[in-house]
Amino acid sequence: MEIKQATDSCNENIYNSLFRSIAPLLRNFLYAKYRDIDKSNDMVQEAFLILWQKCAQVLPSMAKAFVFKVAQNQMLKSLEKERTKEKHIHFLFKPSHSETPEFEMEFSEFDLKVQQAIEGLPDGQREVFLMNRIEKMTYSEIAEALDVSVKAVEKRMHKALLKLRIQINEKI
Amino acid sequence: MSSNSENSEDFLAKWLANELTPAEKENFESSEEGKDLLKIISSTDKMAFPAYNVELELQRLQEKKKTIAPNTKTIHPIWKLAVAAVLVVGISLVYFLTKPSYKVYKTQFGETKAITLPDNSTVTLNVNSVLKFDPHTFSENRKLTLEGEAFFEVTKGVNFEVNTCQGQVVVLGTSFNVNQRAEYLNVQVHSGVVKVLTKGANSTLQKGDGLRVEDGQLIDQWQIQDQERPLWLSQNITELNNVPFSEALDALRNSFGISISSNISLTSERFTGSYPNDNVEIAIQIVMSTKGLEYSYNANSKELNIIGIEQN
Repeated sequence: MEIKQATDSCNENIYNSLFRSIAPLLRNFLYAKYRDIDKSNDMVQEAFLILWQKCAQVLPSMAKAFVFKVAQNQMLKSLEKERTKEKHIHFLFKPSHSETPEFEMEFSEFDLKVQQAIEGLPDGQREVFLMNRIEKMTYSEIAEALDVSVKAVEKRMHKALLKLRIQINEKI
Repeated sequence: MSSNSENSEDFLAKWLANELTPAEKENFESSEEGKDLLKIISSTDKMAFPAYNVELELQRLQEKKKTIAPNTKTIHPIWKLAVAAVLVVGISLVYFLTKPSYKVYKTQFGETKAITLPDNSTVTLNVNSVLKFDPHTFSENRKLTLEGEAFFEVTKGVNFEVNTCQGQVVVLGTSFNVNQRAEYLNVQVHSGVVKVLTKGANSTLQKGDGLRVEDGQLIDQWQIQDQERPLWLSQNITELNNVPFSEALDALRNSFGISISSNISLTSERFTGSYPNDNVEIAIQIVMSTKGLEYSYNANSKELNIIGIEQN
């Protein structure tokens, strides 16, 4: 039973569907945390290559936690080499269906301030905040992906909101 | 007046997840802070991450994947990748073992740790190992899970079980050493009586007895006299007896956290010997010299490269 399951990650179809379901989320998570788009894309590749090599040991149900861990590790290793590079997040505009009566097509000045403040958050708070806000992950989903407690996620979220408000009010 | 958010460490998170009572929510959202945050949140609703082309990325991955075979048994051609993968498997296991309600102890490369269990039994965890148990049920059934190597001194009481992926060790008040890494399991009894249960064999060991199981099958049995504690504890020495050479390299890796690459295949070689756990250069020299291997070691990057067999 276990042996059969264990080989499933080595099955091309299962492996591909794992990639399709996990890779986009992982990429955005890495991007939210480390603010480097090319590197985030590369690390997704690297993590899945390692998953392929280890497919006999990693059950499909463990694959998500596995690649999240691996990718973060690889990322930390490669970031140690180049600390100086300026990092930015480039947000795309998604028209909101609520509230604004006139049809908005781009970010307002206020939106840009919010984005700047988000970029200035510590990595741990920014990753939690953006995964919740943009990827709509629940606290417990985030906690699972990061391998921390739900409580820790809630604390980071709370701090992030406090900090964002202070930052933004200062600038207005 | 101090706001809710200043006195709490997760109030705002609860608010955002809609976990407040309707009254609390309304009260907060009519405060200055609440209004500010509502504005910020609605601004984030317009944000999206740059697009990610899954199919294109998958294609890119397929190209790279062609050069790598999955779960290779022969270690030699992709040493480096294999090393990286071993590390990450360790990490994923730790993740798996740290699920709530379990108590988990973990040692890094070169690190050992002394642990006292709820029943006053003691465990010394050797390098790069993980020990897990459930503290809530431990008093009724003393069950632990081990990855790696540990020395147990067990107080008298109900059954004491150590589970490894290679088999189970059951005892009553005794001290013994369990070393399970990859495909083998070594058990050495230092006092008392121990029972070892694996797929292929059940053995009862007395004081001084040791055995080795590979893939569930009994490979070797021996007797060691007058040793109260394993050598890695009493003398800080790692001792290896007729093990595959790859296992000696694994031991070096676990003891010192070095990475190892090799230009030649060493799969058929075996190793007998011991090295000090506090001197990486001497340890490497000992292991390499038994096979007459030429090597280079970079102390800064902790990389050992096996170049080939010395020509005389």
